[in-house]
Amino acid sequence: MIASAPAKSCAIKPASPEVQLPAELWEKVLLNLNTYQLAQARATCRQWNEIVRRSPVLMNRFVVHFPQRSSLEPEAESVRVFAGSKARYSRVVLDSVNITEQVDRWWPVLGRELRTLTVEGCRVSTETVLKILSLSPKLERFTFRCGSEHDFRSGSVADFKLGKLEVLRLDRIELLEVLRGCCPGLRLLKLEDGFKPISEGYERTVLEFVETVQDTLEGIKLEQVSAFLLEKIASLSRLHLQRISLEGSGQYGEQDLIEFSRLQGSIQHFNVTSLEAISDAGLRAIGTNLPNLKRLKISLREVSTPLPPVLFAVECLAIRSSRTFNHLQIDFGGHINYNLRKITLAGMRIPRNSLLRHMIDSRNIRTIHFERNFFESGSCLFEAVRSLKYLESLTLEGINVDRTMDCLSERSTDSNVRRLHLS
Amino acid sequence: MSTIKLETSDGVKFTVKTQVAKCSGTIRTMLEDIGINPQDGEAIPLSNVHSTILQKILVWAEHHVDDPEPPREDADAAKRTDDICSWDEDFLKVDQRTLFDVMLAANYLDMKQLIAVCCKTVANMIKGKTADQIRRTFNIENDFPPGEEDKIRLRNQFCEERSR
Repeated sequence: MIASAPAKSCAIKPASPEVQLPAELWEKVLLNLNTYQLAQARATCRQWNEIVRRSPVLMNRFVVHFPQRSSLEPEAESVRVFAGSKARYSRVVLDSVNITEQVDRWWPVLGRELRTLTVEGCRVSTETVLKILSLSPKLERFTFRCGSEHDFRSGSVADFKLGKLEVLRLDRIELLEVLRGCCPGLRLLKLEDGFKPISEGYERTVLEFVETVQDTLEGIKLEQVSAFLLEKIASLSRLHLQRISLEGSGQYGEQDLIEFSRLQGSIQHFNVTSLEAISDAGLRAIGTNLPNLKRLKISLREVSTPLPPVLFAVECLAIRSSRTFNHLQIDFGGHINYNLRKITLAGMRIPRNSLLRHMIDSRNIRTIHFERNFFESGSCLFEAVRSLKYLESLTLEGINVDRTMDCLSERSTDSNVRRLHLS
Repeated sequence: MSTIKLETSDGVKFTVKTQVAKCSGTIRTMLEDIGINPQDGEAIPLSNVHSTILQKILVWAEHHVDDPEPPREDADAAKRTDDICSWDEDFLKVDQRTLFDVMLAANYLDMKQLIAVCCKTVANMIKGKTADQIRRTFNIENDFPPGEEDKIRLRNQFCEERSR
């Protein structure tokens, strides 16, 4: 770089004494701050407060928590603080608060820009929930956890649309009935109603709801499911699921699950823990039905060698042995999976050197969780861990190895493992 | 090696490697889209940048000219500010006015990486400080109408950070 002096003048003007940054640069600065720091920053002057207030990304870092056990009435201090605010809060948590019927008198100011709402442990009526939702037109994620079983009568039906709602998480089936037809863009439904045994009414409500959102729905989580419900959901002609999560309890068999995977072949995340155990043949059939699988979480009863190919294609693998008293032998020998990022194995017996070879080849692993496994050779585990240069988290619980674990914890400190949990 | 000339607001002409000058999105666009031909020997006018600041910015650009494209960050999460490389840290050990001038010029020149590292540096000057200490650091006047600051503080109290 060569600088040549200008012809007209050699004097270098000092920079302006009053240098200030424009709002767009201050916003970029503030984007580096967390909620606490941002709270201090916005209390310094009107310009900064205004920058924060106008930025949806920055406002999204503030989560409004009303004090637990407080009563949210129009005259309550906490309510007045927000009702008179020009700030556009996008996340609100109502945890164990009393929400009165007059919620529509103060909610509009808060609900206007709301994107994420969580209602937990609140005793509220359906009508109140509907009032809140109807006054939150931009809502994208709604979580409702009742927590306890109180009489949650339903009668009303939503007569408005939540056009932006993408994620709905409920632990009350009654609310699902109420919200049918009002979430035209839903992508994810998590139904965590495990209070009452599965009934015809439950099946009907779930099915009718899913039917109305089948064009947009990408994922379903059900804590209760029956063979009938699985079949009916899978057969919905316009439903193309990418994620299925069946946890809690289930009344269905392996064949139902295979049939489900055949009809919903677009699934990428397959998380099934409510079926006690899948057989070797069942796993192979599911693997064939789901060519795009990326995450697999199951419990296995048996597995034969060579292992089902599906185990070597996924990014995330979690297998639990369903055996109570002895370990399930699993031999990874010779297979390579560059995609694998996260592996969980529980209740497995791992032959000498099998894991080592597998892990050295599947070198992109970031997270390992081993639980109640029996390693025929402890040094093989130790060598495997050392060879993984991207490993960030290692959890070993109740691991039975023939060598002392000390050498592992000692030597793994020179790798980049950031979380090491041994018990 | 191809070079181009740049002329600052105070009339100083710089002869710069084209590759280094192209760290600036603004100059890149001028050369590529608008079709200014540097071979003509004509200097590109940078009417918003003073020579003292351009000199500094060119040192930075020369050092970072071969940097790979940075990975995309999650816009929603607070960014890390402890990952400024030690060279940049030393480079930005300047008085506040110079730092702000560099930011303004980097903004005008559209140099995203330089802007990012400056913003992190300024953010680190905010971190750990109370509103009052922040005001003193940046010489900001508390211009809230009476009572307004208390209201903001009260609202802030209801907002706690939650892990996502």
